[in-house]
Amino acid sequence: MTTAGLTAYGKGLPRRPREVAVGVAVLAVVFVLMLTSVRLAPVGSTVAAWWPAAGVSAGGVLLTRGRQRVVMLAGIWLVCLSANVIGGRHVPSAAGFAFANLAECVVVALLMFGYGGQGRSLRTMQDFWRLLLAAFCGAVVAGALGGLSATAFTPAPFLPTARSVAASHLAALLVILPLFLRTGPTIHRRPWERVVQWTGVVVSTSVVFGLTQQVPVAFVAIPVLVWSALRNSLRTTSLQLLCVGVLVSVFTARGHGPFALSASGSNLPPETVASLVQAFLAVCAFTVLPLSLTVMQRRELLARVSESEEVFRHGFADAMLGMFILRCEDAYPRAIEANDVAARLLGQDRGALLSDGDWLENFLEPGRSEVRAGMLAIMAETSKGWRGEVQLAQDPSRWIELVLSTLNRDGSHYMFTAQLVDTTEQHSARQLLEAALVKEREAVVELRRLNDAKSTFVSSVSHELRTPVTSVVGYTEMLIDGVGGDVNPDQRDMLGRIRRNGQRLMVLIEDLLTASRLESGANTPVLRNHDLRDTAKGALEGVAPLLRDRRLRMNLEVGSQPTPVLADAGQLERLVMNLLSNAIKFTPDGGAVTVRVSHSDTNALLSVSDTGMGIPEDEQDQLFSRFFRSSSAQRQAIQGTGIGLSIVRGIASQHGGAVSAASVEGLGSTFTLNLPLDDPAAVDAATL
Amino acid sequence: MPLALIADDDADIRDLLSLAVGRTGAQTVLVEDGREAVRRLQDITPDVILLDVQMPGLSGIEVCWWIRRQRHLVHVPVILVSSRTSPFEIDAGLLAGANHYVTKPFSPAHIMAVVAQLLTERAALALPAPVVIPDLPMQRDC
Repeated sequence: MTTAGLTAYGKGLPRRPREVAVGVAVLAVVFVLMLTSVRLAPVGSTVAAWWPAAGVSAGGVLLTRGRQRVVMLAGIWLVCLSANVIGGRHVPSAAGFAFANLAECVVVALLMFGYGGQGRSLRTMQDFWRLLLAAFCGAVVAGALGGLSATAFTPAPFLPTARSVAASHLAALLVILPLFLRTGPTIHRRPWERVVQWTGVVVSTSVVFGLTQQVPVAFVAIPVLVWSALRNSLRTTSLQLLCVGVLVSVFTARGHGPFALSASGSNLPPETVASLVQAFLAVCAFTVLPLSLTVMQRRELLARVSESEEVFRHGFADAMLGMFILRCEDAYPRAIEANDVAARLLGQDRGALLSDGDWLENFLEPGRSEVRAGMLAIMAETSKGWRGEVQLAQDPSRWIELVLSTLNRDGSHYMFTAQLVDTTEQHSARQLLEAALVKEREAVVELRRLNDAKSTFVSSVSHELRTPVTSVVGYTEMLIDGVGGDVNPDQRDMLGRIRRNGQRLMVLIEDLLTASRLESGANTPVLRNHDLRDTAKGALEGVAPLLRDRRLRMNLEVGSQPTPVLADAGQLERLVMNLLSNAIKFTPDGGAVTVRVSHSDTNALLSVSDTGMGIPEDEQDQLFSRFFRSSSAQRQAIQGTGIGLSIVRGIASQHGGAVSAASVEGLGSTFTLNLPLDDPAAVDAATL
Repeated sequence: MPLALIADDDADIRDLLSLAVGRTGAQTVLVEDGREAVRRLQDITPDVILLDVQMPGLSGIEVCWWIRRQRHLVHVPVILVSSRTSPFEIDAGLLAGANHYVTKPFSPAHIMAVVAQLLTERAALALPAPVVIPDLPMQRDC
């Protein structure tokens, strides 16, 4: 057998032991109550005066669900049957009464659960009316079936039997069913009150119904029960009602109390006594249950209201924000509530805050027309709220962030909440920040102006210097060419000196301008693909005039493959010429200058080596700084400005390359230009 | 005899240019600034024009721009002479319609060479007279 089969087999049976125990207990109680009730039937009557077993069995049915309910109903029928038989009834009659009880339980359950009913709930008046209807219908059904079975199997007449059965069942249902229903929360009173109350119920009922003389004071029980309804939970009240019911039944069955004594005094039939007891209990239930319910509901409502009131109070009074509630009519708001934070923010006590007059006028100085406009917009329902910064009337240096939102509308009055946050610090911080920004912007403008001035200076200087040098050198050349007439050899020599120095001046001017442009970033190279070997050749040709009257060996070592670089041809040639002119300048006659062009996988290399005086090692790291001149050059009074190498480095870095120097003093120097190859793949292809 | 107009606000440079251009065999007309150049050019049609870029009033580039919009001057070669050497300035001059842009410092020999070349080219570039043969049908497919 599989687990699933076992589960299916066990389906519908009570699953938990607790439920089984409850069911068995209910059935046991029903059995005992039935025995007792049958025994306690008034003398000469075929029906019991009070039938608490009906209430318990109906309640037991309400406790169950699904198939459990069917089992419970079957149990009730069996218990009922056996109790009746043991109680002395014939089996057919007992079966009929058991059936009547069963039908009653079914009707009660149907009515309690049907038509959207909550079943086991007694919290509202609606639940009470449902309970009343279920009890009434259940009792009527029990009465009708009980009457029929009595008529069929005993000599008792139908109507009186039916009536008294129905009445006894109604009373029992009304008194006992509430104990099986879910009611409101338990209320804990002080112990002495509970003791006094319970004692009051027991003692007053016992005294009144235990009397052996006829005094009609049955009503005395009612105020005590009302006391319970006003002070206790519905469950406690129901319990006390049950207690009253038991005491009244027991005493009356023993012939004590106002009902039994008045009946015996007037020779009324025993059924009338039973009816009086039942009516009394029904009246008690009908009085006490709705009262208790209403009191309970009111109590819950109060608790809820005070809770939400508490929440609001807490939110409002203990808020970290300043809070106002404003009542606004014709755009003139008045404060009707304010919290402590608001008082602190505005520097006044709460009484002053709630004074009459326009709230805006009183507390917020500038910008209040804006606030009022925002308020009008909210009242015209074009906006949901308003938020902004305002200054305080009393202290304009203080800034407040104000948030207005609607609370509700009452006729022409609008209620607003106003939340206030002190933003003075943020405000001053923002102002400081803004001032700092303005200052920085001014500094930037000033810097830009200075930079512009520098550019203008460079361009005007270039014009002002180049033009006169052009005249000097140009006219000298004209003279040398004989345009101004014949010149003798001495004059020609002098003119040659003028021209040479003019040209030196030109070079110096160009160097200065280039250095200045490189520094200001105004020197934008026009990059094109270029063979570094051509640059080397061009530069060698360019320095040819410097080699006149010198005895130097110039070597050019280039490979057979092109060495392409992305460069501004003019600037690159200038770079190499600078290196070459340095080499020529610092190499004594008889020495050699070598230009080598080579390349690695990714880089093109151009080096200029000489056999000159070299550079002292401790000065090599300053070589490329502007206006630096080595001590050896100064010692030998070699002309120069110390600007050439700084230009070299500037141009190299503009091309994404670098220049390095290696030198041994007295032996010579090597300067190496390192540039990225433009297209290494093309070179490789050529090599293959 | 060819005619050259030279405009430069610097008297020394103006005379130096005049000397150099004169050696090519041309006559020179000298003016001091751009406005005067424009005024003189309304009457004469020189064979070559040399303009300094940086002149008070109208700059050489502006004058060149104006020249290229004159019916009688549109084919006259223009040489801009300037101490401004940035690629941007050079491009601006050539865009304005100059044939050459010579940067200072220049040597008179360079000026002579450029002018001589332009004068020769100008002679060679004269448009051939159209030849019309009325009997032949016009070719339409070109």
